[in-house]
Amino acid sequence: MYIVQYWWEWLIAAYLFLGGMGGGGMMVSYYFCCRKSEQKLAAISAITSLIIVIVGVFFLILDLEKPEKFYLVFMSPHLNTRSMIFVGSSILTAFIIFGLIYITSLEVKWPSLLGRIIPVLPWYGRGSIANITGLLATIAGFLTTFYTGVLIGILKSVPFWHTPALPLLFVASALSTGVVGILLVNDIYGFTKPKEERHRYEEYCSILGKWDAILISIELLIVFTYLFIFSYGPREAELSVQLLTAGELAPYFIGGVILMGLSIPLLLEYWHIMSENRGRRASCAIPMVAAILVIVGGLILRYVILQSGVMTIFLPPS
Amino acid sequence: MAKYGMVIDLRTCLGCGACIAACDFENETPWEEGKRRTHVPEFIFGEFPNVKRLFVPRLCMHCENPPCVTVCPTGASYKNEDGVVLVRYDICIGCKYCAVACPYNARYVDERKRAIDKCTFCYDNRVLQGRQPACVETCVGHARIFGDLEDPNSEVYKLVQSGEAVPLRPDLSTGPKVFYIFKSSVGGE
Repeated sequence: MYIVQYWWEWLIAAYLFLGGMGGGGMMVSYYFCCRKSEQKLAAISAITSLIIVIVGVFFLILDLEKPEKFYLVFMSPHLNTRSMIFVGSSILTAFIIFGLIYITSLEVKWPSLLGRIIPVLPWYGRGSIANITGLLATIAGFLTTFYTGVLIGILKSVPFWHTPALPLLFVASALSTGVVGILLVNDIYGFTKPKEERHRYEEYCSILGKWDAILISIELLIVFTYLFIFSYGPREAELSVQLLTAGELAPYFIGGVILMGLSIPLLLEYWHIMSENRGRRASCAIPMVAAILVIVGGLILRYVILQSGVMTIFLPPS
Repeated sequence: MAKYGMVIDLRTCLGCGACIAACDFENETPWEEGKRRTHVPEFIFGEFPNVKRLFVPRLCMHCENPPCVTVCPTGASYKNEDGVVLVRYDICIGCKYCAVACPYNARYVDERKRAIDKCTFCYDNRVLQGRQPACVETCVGHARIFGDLEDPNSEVYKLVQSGEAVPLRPDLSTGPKVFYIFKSSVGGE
Protein backbone atom coordinates (compact mmCIF):
# COMPACT_ATOMS: atom_id res chain seq x y z
CA MET A 1 0.00 0.00 0.00
CA TYR A 2 1.44 3.35 -0.95
CA ILE A 3 0.32 6.94 -1.28
CA VAL A 4 1.24 9.36 -4.05
CA GLN A 5 1.48 12.95 -2.85
CA TYR A 6 -1.81 14.63 -3.67
CA TRP A 7 -1.10 18.13 -2.40
CA TRP A 8 0.46 19.67 -5.46
CA GLU A 9 -1.17 19.33 -8.85
CA TRP A 10 -1.49 21.30 -12.10
CA LEU A 11 -1.03 24.77 -10.65
CA ILE A 12 2.30 23.88 -9.06
CA ALA A 13 3.35 21.85 -12.13
CA ALA A 14 2.61 24.91 -14.27
CA TYR A 15 4.50 27.13 -11.84
CA LEU A 16 7.59 24.89 -11.84
CA PHE A 17 7.44 24.81 -15.63
CA LEU A 18 6.86 28.54 -16.20
CA GLY A 19 9.44 29.59 -13.61
CA GLY A 20 12.01 27.42 -15.35
CA MET A 21 11.09 28.48 -18.86
CA GLY A 22 11.13 32.21 -18.03
CA GLY A 23 14.41 31.88 -16.16
CA GLY A 24 15.98 30.09 -19.12
CA GLY A 25 14.55 32.58 -21.61
CA MET A 26 16.21 35.52 -19.85
CA MET A 27 19.62 34.04 -20.65
CA VAL A 28 18.82 34.08 -24.35
CA SER A 29 17.69 37.68 -24.08
CA TYR A 30 21.02 38.55 -22.49
CA TYR A 31 22.78 36.82 -25.36
CA PHE A 32 20.84 38.94 -27.88
CA CYS A 33 21.45 42.17 -25.99
CA CYS A 34 25.04 41.90 -25.04
CA ARG A 35 26.57 39.50 -27.55
CA LYS A 36 24.60 40.33 -30.68
CA SER A 37 23.58 43.94 -29.96
CA GLU A 38 20.00 43.13 -30.87
CA GLN A 39 18.34 45.57 -28.49
CA LYS A 40 14.79 45.15 -29.70
CA LEU A 41 14.92 41.38 -29.90
CA ALA A 42 16.55 41.34 -26.45
CA ALA A 43 13.73 43.49 -25.07
CA ILE A 44 10.99 41.32 -26.58
CA SER A 45 12.68 38.16 -25.29
CA ALA A 46 13.14 39.61 -21.82
CA ILE A 47 9.54 40.84 -21.66
CA THR A 48 8.33 37.39 -22.73
CA SER A 49 10.51 35.71 -20.09
CA LEU A 50 9.35 38.12 -17.41
CA ILE A 51 5.68 37.63 -18.27
CA ILE A 52 6.13 33.85 -18.22
CA VAL A 53 7.67 33.97 -14.74
CA ILE A 54 5.04 36.39 -13.44
CA VAL A 55 2.25 34.12 -14.72
CA GLY A 56 4.05 31.24 -12.95
CA VAL A 57 4.15 33.21 -9.70
CA PHE A 58 0.47 33.98 -10.16
CA PHE A 59 -0.25 30.22 -10.33
CA LEU A 60 1.85 29.67 -7.21
CA ILE A 61 -0.14 32.29 -5.31
CA LEU A 62 -3.41 30.91 -6.67
CA ASP A 63 -2.52 27.50 -5.24
CA LEU A 64 -2.32 28.93 -1.70
CA GLU A 65 -5.25 28.40 0.65
CA LYS A 66 -4.91 32.10 1.54
CA PRO A 67 -3.70 33.78 -1.65
CA GLU A 68 -4.42 37.21 -0.20
CA LYS A 69 -1.81 36.59 2.50
CA PHE A 70 1.06 35.68 0.17
CA TYR A 71 3.04 38.65 1.50
CA LEU A 72 3.63 36.67 4.73
CA VAL A 73 6.31 34.78 2.79
CA PHE A 74 8.41 37.92 3.35
CA MET A 75 6.65 39.64 6.22
CA SER A 76 5.64 36.92 8.65
CA PRO A 77 6.50 37.73 12.29
CA HIS A 78 8.03 34.25 12.50
CA LEU A 79 9.74 34.29 9.10
CA ASN A 80 11.76 31.17 8.33
CA THR A 81 14.57 32.28 6.03
CA ARG A 82 15.75 28.68 5.66
CA SER A 83 12.53 27.66 3.92
CA MET A 84 13.01 26.98 0.22
CA ILE A 85 9.80 28.91 -0.43
CA PHE A 86 11.37 32.01 1.14
CA VAL A 87 14.61 31.45 -0.80
CA GLY A 88 12.67 30.91 -4.04
CA SER A 89 10.44 33.92 -3.51
CA SER A 90 13.55 36.05 -2.96
CA ILE A 91 15.10 34.74 -6.18
CA LEU A 92 11.87 35.39 -8.09
CA THR A 93 11.65 38.91 -6.68
CA ALA A 94 15.26 39.60 -7.66
CA PHE A 95 14.54 38.21 -11.13
CA ILE A 96 11.52 40.47 -11.59
CA ILE A 97 13.30 43.60 -10.30
CA PHE A 98 16.52 43.09 -12.29
CA GLY A 99 14.46 42.04 -15.29
CA LEU A 100 12.41 45.24 -15.20
CA ILE A 101 15.47 47.48 -14.88
CA TYR A 102 17.24 45.54 -17.62
CA ILE A 103 14.29 45.82 -20.01
CA THR A 104 13.83 49.53 -19.43
CA SER A 105 17.56 50.20 -19.80
CA LEU A 106 17.63 48.80 -23.34
CA GLU A 107 17.68 51.37 -26.09
CA VAL A 108 14.35 50.59 -27.63
CA LYS A 109 11.59 52.78 -29.01
CA TRP A 110 8.61 52.07 -26.79
CA PRO A 111 5.08 52.54 -28.12
CA SER A 112 2.46 55.02 -26.85
CA LEU A 113 2.41 55.74 -23.11
CA LEU A 114 5.48 53.60 -22.36
CA GLY A 115 7.34 55.70 -24.92
CA ARG A 116 6.79 58.72 -22.74
CA ILE A 117 7.53 57.11 -19.37
CA ILE A 118 10.48 54.78 -19.94
CA PRO A 119 12.88 57.24 -21.65
CA VAL A 120 12.56 59.48 -18.58
CA LEU A 121 14.08 56.78 -16.36
CA PRO A 122 17.70 57.63 -15.47
CA TRP A 123 19.00 54.26 -16.65
CA TYR A 124 17.21 54.26 -20.03
CA GLY A 125 19.51 53.60 -22.94
CA ARG A 126 22.60 53.09 -20.79
CA GLY A 127 24.42 50.12 -22.17
CA SER A 128 26.53 49.53 -19.05
CA ILE A 129 23.42 49.26 -16.86
CA ALA A 130 21.73 46.96 -19.37
CA ASN A 131 24.84 44.83 -19.30
CA ILE A 132 25.00 44.56 -15.52
CA THR A 133 21.26 44.17 -14.81
CA GLY A 134 20.93 41.79 -17.75
CA LEU A 135 23.65 39.66 -16.24
CA LEU A 136 22.04 39.84 -12.79
CA ALA A 137 18.62 38.94 -14.26
CA THR A 138 20.28 36.06 -16.11
CA ILE A 139 21.89 34.81 -12.88
CA ALA A 140 18.57 35.14 -11.04
CA GLY A 141 16.94 33.35 -13.98
CA PHE A 142 19.42 30.50 -13.72
CA LEU A 143 18.85 30.29 -9.97
CA THR A 144 15.10 30.15 -10.65
CA THR A 145 15.55 27.15 -12.95
CA PHE A 146 17.69 25.49 -10.31
CA TYR A 147 15.42 26.36 -7.41
CA THR A 148 12.30 24.79 -8.94
CA GLY A 149 14.09 21.44 -8.67
CA VAL A 150 15.59 22.14 -5.24
CA LEU A 151 12.16 23.08 -3.86
CA ILE A 152 10.92 19.53 -4.18
CA GLY A 153 14.36 17.86 -4.24
CA ILE A 154 15.00 18.53 -0.55
CA LEU A 155 11.93 16.56 0.52
CA LYS A 156 12.90 13.18 1.89
CA SER A 157 9.20 12.38 2.28
CA VAL A 158 9.25 11.58 -1.45
CA PRO A 159 12.33 9.43 -2.09
CA PHE A 160 11.94 9.72 -5.88
CA TRP A 161 12.46 13.49 -5.64
CA HIS A 162 15.21 13.36 -3.07
CA THR A 163 18.12 13.25 -5.48
CA PRO A 164 20.56 15.73 -7.06
CA ALA A 165 19.39 14.43 -10.43
CA LEU A 166 16.05 16.21 -10.04
CA PRO A 167 17.34 19.83 -9.94
CA LEU A 168 19.73 18.95 -12.78
CA LEU A 169 16.86 17.55 -14.83
CA PHE A 170 14.77 20.64 -14.14
CA VAL A 171 17.66 22.96 -15.07
CA ALA A 172 18.20 21.12 -18.36
CA SER A 173 14.48 21.16 -19.13
CA ALA A 174 14.13 24.81 -18.07
CA LEU A 175 17.03 25.96 -20.24
CA SER A 176 15.71 23.90 -23.14
CA THR A 177 12.15 25.25 -22.88
CA GLY A 178 13.52 28.77 -22.34
CA VAL A 179 15.70 28.55 -25.45
CA VAL A 180 12.89 27.24 -27.65
CA GLY A 181 10.44 29.74 -26.18
CA ILE A 182 12.69 32.55 -27.34
CA LEU A 183 13.29 30.69 -30.62
CA LEU A 184 9.55 31.05 -31.24
CA VAL A 185 9.62 34.72 -30.24
CA ASN A 186 12.58 35.31 -32.55
CA ASP A 187 10.89 33.57 -35.47
CA ILE A 188 7.60 35.37 -35.02
CA TYR A 189 9.50 38.66 -34.76
CA GLY A 190 11.45 37.73 -37.89
CA PHE A 191 8.24 37.18 -39.83
CA THR A 192 7.22 40.79 -39.21
CA LYS A 193 10.39 41.96 -40.98
CA PRO A 194 10.79 42.43 -44.72
CA LYS A 195 12.06 39.35 -46.58
CA GLU A 196 15.57 40.68 -47.16
CA GLU A 197 16.15 41.11 -43.40
CA ARG A 198 14.85 37.71 -42.40
CA HIS A 199 18.03 35.74 -42.89
CA ARG A 200 19.40 37.25 -39.66
CA TYR A 201 16.56 35.74 -37.68
CA GLU A 202 16.88 32.46 -39.49
CA GLU A 203 20.48 32.42 -38.39
CA TYR A 204 19.46 32.98 -34.77
CA CYS A 205 16.87 30.25 -35.18
CA SER A 206 19.61 27.85 -36.22
CA ILE A 207 21.85 28.86 -33.32
CA LEU A 208 19.05 28.40 -30.78
CA GLY A 209 18.04 25.11 -32.41
CA LYS A 210 21.60 23.84 -31.98
CA TRP A 211 21.68 24.92 -28.34
CA ASP A 212 18.42 23.14 -27.77
CA ALA A 213 19.66 19.95 -29.42
CA ILE A 214 22.56 19.91 -26.95
CA LEU A 215 20.27 20.63 -24.00
CA ILE A 216 17.80 17.91 -25.00
CA SER A 217 20.64 15.41 -25.32
CA ILE A 218 21.80 16.27 -21.80
CA GLU A 219 18.23 16.05 -20.54
CA LEU A 220 17.72 12.61 -22.06
CA LEU A 221 20.95 11.43 -20.46
CA ILE A 222 19.81 12.71 -17.05
CA VAL A 223 16.32 11.18 -17.43
CA PHE A 224 17.67 7.74 -18.27
CA THR A 225 20.27 7.79 -15.48
CA TYR A 226 17.67 9.05 -13.01
CA LEU A 227 15.16 6.29 -13.80
CA PHE A 228 17.76 3.58 -14.15
CA ILE A 229 19.30 4.25 -10.74
CA PHE A 230 15.91 4.46 -9.03
CA SER A 231 14.66 1.28 -10.66
CA TYR A 232 16.95 -0.40 -8.11
CA GLY A 233 15.26 1.25 -5.12
CA PRO A 234 14.56 2.54 -2.56
CA ARG A 235 11.16 0.88 -2.71
CA GLU A 236 9.09 4.06 -2.95
CA ALA A 237 11.25 5.40 -5.78
CA GLU A 238 11.00 2.04 -7.55
CA LEU A 239 7.22 2.43 -7.43
CA SER A 240 7.57 5.95 -8.89
CA VAL A 241 9.64 4.59 -11.76
CA GLN A 242 7.01 1.91 -12.35
CA LEU A 243 4.23 4.51 -12.39
CA LEU A 244 6.13 6.50 -15.01
CA THR A 245 7.30 3.70 -17.25
CA ALA A 246 4.60 1.06 -16.96
CA GLY A 247 1.81 2.47 -14.82
CA GLU A 248 -0.93 4.99 -15.33
CA LEU A 249 1.51 7.83 -16.04
CA ALA A 250 3.35 5.92 -18.77
CA PRO A 251 1.32 7.37 -21.68
CA TYR A 252 2.15 10.88 -20.45
CA PHE A 253 5.74 10.17 -19.58
CA ILE A 254 6.79 7.87 -22.43
CA GLY A 255 4.48 9.41 -25.02
CA GLY A 256 4.36 13.03 -23.88
CA VAL A 257 7.82 13.57 -22.46
CA ILE A 258 10.28 11.02 -23.86
CA LEU A 259 8.87 10.79 -27.39
CA MET A 260 6.93 13.98 -28.09
CA GLY A 261 8.83 16.33 -25.80
CA LEU A 262 12.40 15.12 -26.26
CA SER A 263 13.13 12.48 -28.92
CA ILE A 264 11.05 13.84 -31.79
CA PRO A 265 12.20 17.47 -31.29
CA LEU A 266 15.80 16.25 -31.08
CA LEU A 267 15.42 14.39 -34.39
CA LEU A 268 13.77 17.43 -35.99
CA GLU A 269 16.53 19.75 -34.76
CA TYR A 270 19.20 17.29 -35.87
CA TRP A 271 17.56 17.09 -39.29
CA HIS A 272 17.58 20.88 -39.49
CA ILE A 273 21.25 21.06 -38.53
CA MET A 274 22.18 18.37 -41.07
CA SER A 275 20.28 20.09 -43.88
CA GLU A 276 22.11 23.32 -43.12
CA ASN A 277 25.45 21.53 -43.04
CA ARG A 278 24.73 20.24 -46.51
CA GLY A 279 24.40 23.85 -47.56
CA ARG A 280 20.67 23.82 -47.99
CA ARG A 281 18.69 26.81 -46.85
CA ALA A 282 16.55 25.03 -44.26
CA SER A 283 13.23 26.50 -43.23
CA CYS A 284 12.80 27.60 -39.66
CA ALA A 285 9.44 25.87 -39.60
CA ILE A 286 11.02 22.63 -38.43
CA PRO A 287 12.72 24.07 -35.33
CA MET A 288 9.46 25.90 -34.62
CA VAL A 289 7.50 22.65 -34.60
CA ALA A 290 10.24 21.14 -32.39
CA ALA A 291 9.97 24.14 -30.07
CA ILE A 292 6.23 23.71 -29.55
CA LEU A 293 6.71 20.00 -28.80
CA VAL A 294 9.53 20.76 -26.32
CA ILE A 295 7.36 23.29 -24.50
CA VAL A 296 4.37 20.96 -24.18
CA GLY A 297 6.72 18.15 -23.11
CA GLY A 298 8.31 20.39 -20.48
CA LEU A 299 4.95 21.09 -18.89
CA ILE A 300 4.00 17.40 -18.91
CA LEU A 301 7.39 16.55 -17.35
CA ARG A 302 6.69 18.74 -14.32
CA TYR A 303 3.21 17.26 -14.01
CA VAL A 304 4.29 13.62 -14.14
CA ILE A 305 7.15 14.23 -11.72
CA LEU A 306 4.66 15.67 -9.21
CA GLN A 307 2.14 12.89 -9.87
CA SER A 308 4.72 10.15 -9.42
CA GLY A 309 5.73 11.38 -5.97
CA VAL A 310 5.26 8.17 -4.00
CA MET A 311 5.53 9.08 -0.31
CA THR A 312 7.58 7.21 2.26
CA ILE A 313 6.02 3.94 3.26
CA PHE A 314 6.03 3.94 7.04
CA LEU A 315 3.40 1.37 7.93
CA PRO A 316 3.95 -2.39 7.91
CA PRO A 317 3.37 -4.08 4.55
CA SER A 318 -0.16 -5.46 4.34
CA MET B 1 9.46 22.07 30.01
CA ALA B 2 8.57 18.57 29.05
CA LYS B 3 9.15 16.36 26.06
CA TYR B 4 5.77 14.89 25.33
CA GLY B 5 5.45 11.65 23.47
CA MET B 6 3.13 8.72 23.00
CA VAL B 7 3.47 4.96 23.05
CA ILE B 8 0.93 2.90 21.14
CA ASP B 9 0.62 -0.70 22.25
CA LEU B 10 -0.42 -2.64 19.16
CA ARG B 11 -1.06 -5.73 21.30
CA THR B 12 -4.07 -4.12 22.89
CA CYS B 13 -5.48 -1.96 20.09
CA LEU B 14 -8.87 -3.44 19.19
CA GLY B 15 -9.43 -1.24 16.17
CA CYS B 16 -12.67 0.07 17.69
CA GLY B 17 -12.02 3.61 16.46
CA ALA B 18 -13.06 5.29 19.71
CA CYS B 19 -9.86 7.34 19.57
CA ILE B 20 -10.89 8.67 16.15
CA ALA B 21 -14.35 9.63 17.40
CA ALA B 22 -13.00 11.22 20.58
CA CYS B 23 -10.48 13.24 18.57
CA ASP B 24 -13.06 14.35 16.00
CA PHE B 25 -15.38 15.46 18.81
CA GLU B 26 -12.71 17.16 20.89
CA ASN B 27 -10.98 18.94 18.05
CA GLU B 28 -13.92 19.44 15.67
CA THR B 29 -12.06 17.97 12.72
CA PRO B 30 -13.62 18.08 9.24
CA TRP B 31 -14.16 14.31 9.55
CA GLU B 32 -17.03 14.34 7.04
CA GLU B 33 -14.44 15.08 4.36
CA GLY B 34 -12.30 12.21 5.60
CA LYS B 35 -9.86 14.67 7.18
CA ARG B 36 -8.86 13.55 10.63
CA ARG B 37 -6.00 13.96 13.04
CA THR B 38 -5.75 10.25 13.76
CA HIS B 39 -6.51 7.15 11.73
CA VAL B 40 -6.51 3.46 12.56
CA PRO B 41 -5.62 1.50 9.42
CA GLU B 42 -6.02 -2.24 9.51
CA PHE B 43 -3.47 -4.70 8.17
CA ILE B 44 -4.11 -8.31 7.35
CA PHE B 45 -1.24 -10.74 6.97
CA GLY B 46 -1.13 -14.25 5.66
CA GLU B 47 -3.85 -16.41 4.12
CA PHE B 48 -6.73 -18.33 5.62
CA PRO B 49 -6.56 -20.11 8.05
CA ASN B 50 -3.28 -18.50 9.17
CA VAL B 51 -4.43 -14.93 9.14
CA LYS B 52 -3.21 -12.15 11.39
CA ARG B 53 -4.77 -8.76 11.88
CA LEU B 54 -3.02 -5.68 13.06
CA PHE B 55 -4.35 -2.18 13.74
CA VAL B 56 -1.73 0.54 13.58
CA PRO B 57 -3.12 3.84 14.85
CA ARG B 58 -1.34 6.80 13.37
CA LEU B 59 -1.14 10.49 14.11
CA CYS B 60 1.40 13.29 13.98
CA MET B 61 4.73 11.93 15.25
CA HIS B 62 5.69 15.29 16.81
CA CYS B 63 9.21 14.78 15.48
CA GLU B 64 12.28 16.12 17.21
CA ASN B 65 13.53 17.45 13.86
CA PRO B 66 10.23 18.07 12.12
CA PRO B 67 10.63 18.50 8.34
CA CYS B 68 7.31 20.38 8.29
CA VAL B 69 8.84 23.11 10.47
CA THR B 70 12.02 23.30 8.38
CA VAL B 71 10.11 23.92 5.14
CA CYS B 72 7.41 26.29 6.45
CA PRO B 73 8.17 29.76 5.03
CA THR B 74 6.07 31.79 7.47
CA GLY B 75 6.94 29.97 10.68
CA ALA B 76 3.32 28.86 11.01
CA SER B 77 4.49 25.33 11.75
CA TYR B 78 6.63 25.27 14.87
CA LYS B 79 7.73 23.07 17.73
CA ASN B 80 6.83 24.48 21.12
CA GLU B 81 8.83 24.38 24.35
CA ASP B 82 7.26 21.04 25.28
CA GLY B 83 8.30 19.44 21.99
CA VAL B 84 4.79 19.51 20.53
CA VAL B 85 4.55 20.43 16.83
CA LEU B 86 1.77 22.97 16.31
CA VAL B 87 0.38 25.28 13.61
CA ARG B 88 -0.27 29.02 13.97
CA TYR B 89 -3.38 29.09 11.82
CA ASP B 90 -3.42 32.89 11.40
CA ILE B 91 -0.07 33.00 9.60
CA CYS B 92 -0.43 29.71 7.71
CA ILE B 93 -0.85 30.70 4.04
CA GLY B 94 -1.71 27.16 3.00
CA CYS B 95 1.19 26.49 0.63
CA LYS B 96 1.02 22.82 1.63
CA TYR B 97 4.82 22.48 1.59
CA CYS B 98 4.68 21.03 5.12
CA ALA B 99 2.05 18.49 4.10
CA VAL B 100 4.25 17.23 1.26
CA ALA B 101 7.34 17.30 3.49
CA CYS B 102 5.79 15.16 6.24
CA PRO B 103 6.98 11.56 5.75
CA TYR B 104 4.15 10.36 8.01
CA ASN B 105 1.33 12.00 6.06
CA ALA B 106 -0.07 13.56 9.21
CA ARG B 107 -1.49 16.79 7.81
CA TYR B 108 -4.61 17.96 6.02
CA VAL B 109 -6.09 21.22 4.78
CA ASP B 110 -8.94 22.50 6.93
CA GLU B 111 -11.10 24.43 4.46
CA ARG B 112 -12.87 26.27 7.29
CA LYS B 113 -9.61 27.58 8.72
CA ARG B 114 -8.11 27.86 5.23
CA ALA B 115 -4.99 26.47 6.82
CA ILE B 116 -3.13 23.27 7.47
CA ASP B 117 -4.20 21.30 10.49
CA LYS B 118 -2.94 18.26 12.34
CA CYS B 119 -2.79 16.46 15.69
CA THR B 120 -1.78 18.75 18.56
CA PHE B 121 -1.60 16.09 21.28
CA CYS B 122 -4.61 18.16 22.54
CA TYR B 123 -1.95 20.49 23.90
CA ASP B 124 -3.95 23.70 24.46
CA ASN B 125 -7.30 22.16 25.21
CA ARG B 126 -6.21 19.33 27.54
CA VAL B 127 -2.52 18.81 28.26
CA LEU B 128 -2.04 22.34 29.63
CA GLN B 129 -4.90 21.63 32.02
CA GLY B 130 -3.19 18.49 33.22
CA ARG B 131 -5.44 16.16 31.26
CA GLN B 132 -4.59 13.42 28.79
CA PRO B 133 -5.21 13.82 25.05
CA ALA B 134 -8.75 12.81 24.07
CA CYS B 135 -7.63 9.69 22.16
CA VAL B 136 -5.62 8.47 25.16
CA GLU B 137 -8.37 9.09 27.71
CA THR B 138 -10.97 7.24 25.66
CA CYS B 139 -8.94 4.19 24.60
CA VAL B 140 -10.63 1.08 26.03
CA GLY B 141 -7.61 -1.17 25.56
CA HIS B 142 -5.19 1.37 27.07
CA ALA B 143 -3.33 1.06 23.82
CA ARG B 144 -2.37 4.74 23.86
CA ILE B 145 -0.04 5.91 26.59
CA PHE B 146 0.89 9.57 26.81
CA GLY B 147 3.56 11.24 28.92
CA ASP B 148 6.86 13.02 29.30
CA LEU B 149 9.67 11.17 27.57
CA GLU B 150 12.19 12.87 29.86
CA ASP B 151 10.48 11.95 33.13
CA PRO B 152 12.06 8.70 34.41
CA ASN B 153 8.91 7.94 36.38
CA SER B 154 6.62 8.07 33.36
CA GLU B 155 5.38 4.93 31.67
CA VAL B 156 6.36 6.20 28.23
CA TYR B 157 9.92 6.84 29.43
CA LYS B 158 10.24 3.26 30.69
CA LEU B 159 8.72 1.69 27.58
CA VAL B 160 10.94 3.70 25.24
CA GLN B 161 14.12 3.31 27.29
CA SER B 162 13.61 -0.48 27.59
CA GLY B 163 13.51 -0.68 23.80
CA GLU B 164 10.08 -2.26 23.91
CA ALA B 165 8.50 0.68 22.10
CA VAL B 166 10.09 1.71 18.83
CA PRO B 167 9.38 4.51 16.35
CA LEU B 168 8.26 3.99 12.74
CA ARG B 169 10.98 4.58 10.13
CA PRO B 170 13.67 5.94 12.47
CA ASP B 171 15.98 5.83 9.43
CA LEU B 172 14.30 9.01 8.19
CA SER B 173 16.06 10.72 11.12
CA THR B 174 13.21 13.03 11.99
CA GLY B 175 13.15 11.74 15.57
CA PRO B 176 9.49 10.70 15.87
CA LYS B 177 8.07 10.93 19.40
CA VAL B 178 5.29 8.40 18.84
CA PHE B 179 6.48 4.88 19.55
CA TYR B 180 4.92 1.49 18.90
CA ILE B 181 4.98 -1.82 20.70
CA PHE B 182 4.92 -4.46 17.99
CA LYS B 183 6.08 -7.54 19.88
CA SER B 184 3.53 -10.22 20.74
CA SER B 185 0.93 -8.51 18.61
CA VAL B 186 -2.34 -10.25 17.84
CA GLY B 187 -1.53 -13.58 16.28
CA GLY B 188 1.26 -14.28 18.70
CA GLU B 189 4.22 -12.99 16.71
